[in-house]
Amino acid sequence: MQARDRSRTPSSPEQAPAAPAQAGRKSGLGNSFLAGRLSAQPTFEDGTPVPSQRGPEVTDSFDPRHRPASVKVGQMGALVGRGSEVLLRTGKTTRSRELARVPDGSPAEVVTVDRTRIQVRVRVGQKNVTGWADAADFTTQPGVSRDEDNKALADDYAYSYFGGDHRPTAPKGTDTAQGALGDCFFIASMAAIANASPQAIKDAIQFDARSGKYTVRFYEETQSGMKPVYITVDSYLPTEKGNRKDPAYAGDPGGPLWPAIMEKAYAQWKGGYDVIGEGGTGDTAMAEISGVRSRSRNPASMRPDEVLPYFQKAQKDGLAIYAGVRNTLKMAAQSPLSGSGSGPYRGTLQQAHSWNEVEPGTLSVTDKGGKVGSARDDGEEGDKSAAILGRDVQSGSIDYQSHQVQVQYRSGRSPANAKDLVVEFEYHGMLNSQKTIIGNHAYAFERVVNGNMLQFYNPWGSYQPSPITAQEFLQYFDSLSTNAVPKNKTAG
Amino acid sequence: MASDCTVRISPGTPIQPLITAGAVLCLEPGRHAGGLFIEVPVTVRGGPGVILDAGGAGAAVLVAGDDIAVQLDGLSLTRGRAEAGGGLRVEGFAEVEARGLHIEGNKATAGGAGVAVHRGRLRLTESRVLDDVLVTGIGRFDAERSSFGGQVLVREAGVLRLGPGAHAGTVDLRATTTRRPTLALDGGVADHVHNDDTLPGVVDGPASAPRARGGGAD
Repeated sequence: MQARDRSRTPSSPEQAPAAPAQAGRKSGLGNSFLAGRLSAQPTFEDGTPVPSQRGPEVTDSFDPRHRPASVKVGQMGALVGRGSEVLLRTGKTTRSRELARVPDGSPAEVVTVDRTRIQVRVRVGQKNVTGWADAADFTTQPGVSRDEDNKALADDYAYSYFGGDHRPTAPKGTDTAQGALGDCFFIASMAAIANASPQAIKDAIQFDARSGKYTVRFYEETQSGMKPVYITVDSYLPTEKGNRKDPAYAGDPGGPLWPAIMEKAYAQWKGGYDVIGEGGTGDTAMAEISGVRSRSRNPASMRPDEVLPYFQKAQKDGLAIYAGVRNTLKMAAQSPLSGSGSGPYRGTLQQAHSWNEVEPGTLSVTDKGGKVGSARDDGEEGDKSAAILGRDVQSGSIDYQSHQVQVQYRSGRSPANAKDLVVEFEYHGMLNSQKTIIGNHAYAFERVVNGNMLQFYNPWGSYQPSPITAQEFLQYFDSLSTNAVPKNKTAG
Repeated sequence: MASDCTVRISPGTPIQPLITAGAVLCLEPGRHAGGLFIEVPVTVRGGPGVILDAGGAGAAVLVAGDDIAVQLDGLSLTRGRAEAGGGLRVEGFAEVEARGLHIEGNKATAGGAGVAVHRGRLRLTESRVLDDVLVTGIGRFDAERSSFGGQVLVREAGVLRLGPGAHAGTVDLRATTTRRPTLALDGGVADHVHNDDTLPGVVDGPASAPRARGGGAD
């Protein structure tokens, strides 16, 4: 699913925020909200008590004295110390040589645990280093996304502290701003739910001011119905290293942070940001947020005259509405190749938008004069280039990123004219640049406008689409679901 | 063609309006416009040369109804597109019996390009699925005498049973922090089972059972 391009001009590194003050953690009870509390038991906004969190190996206090007991081999987290850097050593003792100094908040994976010392794997530049740190500096966090160019590396972000109470007060869909993670299905689901029922979002997030932690209530479907699941997360979020106030994933600097908190809880629940970044379905995500099962429709089965009434009714009923755009669209045939005889024939494919690329495995080169046989590319998803093959082809290639095509036919085989060679393909990217409809992307429905047009919301928070017709909806969208999210306060 | 057909459908005739409770729809050979949405008990029967082509506009077949029995026979599902289950998606608490399916050329953005089972139960026999498969949520997928050419993902609390004659190349399991999926090797074979190190699923049965010879759709 489409993650937003978050290119930013790097700013000078900022000092990482200091660890929060130790006041109010005398009991050192870790993650139990119920035992030994001096103040009232924390509750959700609807009055439901927050259940006791008996999370096994995770300590939730920022008091370093409580961290060592909670670290296990294989845990994903971040090194959060008491300054701007965390020191890694070559050996487990503090007399060992210094190996590296990594920014405070660096994502880390625990490799070895030896009492109060841990060996961790951390990204430093373009490689991983494995060094020893103080277990007290480790906090459990969801694993961050993987570097697209090198999956062995985590994306180069750092966990930064966002203190204060960031619960939503008046949540709305436009609060969401997807970041550099392919979880548009989840962000759009949050937006759709927030549009239909701000109360549902408010009900879902509870904050404990003493620990600085949030407990987010999701739901999990079982054979006997939806069951609440409570996920507790701290106030650290992955950020750009160059700007520690800029969340890397959901959220913009200075904007509402409830989407980032909910996203972090979702990531922790499902096994990491990298997991939810693989994509998902909106019908499931909406149900997991609202506690109510979603209902899907198949756009391929809908007639154009059914579309507007469907959305009008869903809007009137106050449903959350989510729709997904198809991955690719067929480009109009073109004849961009030049050459003569058996070739080579070369050319650059025309694309309607700079984001667009040929979908591997969909390209064909056909001779409308019938002199040479058809050829096809043999690429697969993820390929940067591929061969073009055909009975009469000696060699051929396509570069999916530069859109350049080359075909050499066998000796004695040639089209009558280069312009007879018709190239067809499917493309991904911006499927409709006039309406700003992005392929392989999820949207939250907002409302019917002008009586007969559909207005959707892009969870990026930018590149908003123009209103589209029912016909355009069927042309571009391949997934559709609604959710009867409760409007009033709900019990847990 | 079987005589219990309530409707015979030639290529070019819209199928969706004919999906009514209890109908036995018999498709004549040729390419039919796919993109079916099923909420009632129905049988859709094809045969050699019967293709359901969704034209990239949605899932080829989406079963969304609850407490229904759906039968799909002898269909080739292609050019379906969806978030999950571009070819066949089982989303309702339905019992779907599918036999003699050929599922190829479908796509999904979140996994399960060929088949996705979220709820209910899909029983697949004598079939070939070349695209990826996703078993997730609380869905159950039973396969016998069928082959899977793509990756088979088992997530959440999904259950995949590979029965006699079922052959999968790669099965990939990953749990969440609250529940685990299950792969039951019950006479079927998975050439390679990848079970997540950190959040493993449950594998029930020998991971290296000898490949079934004879029978099956491969």
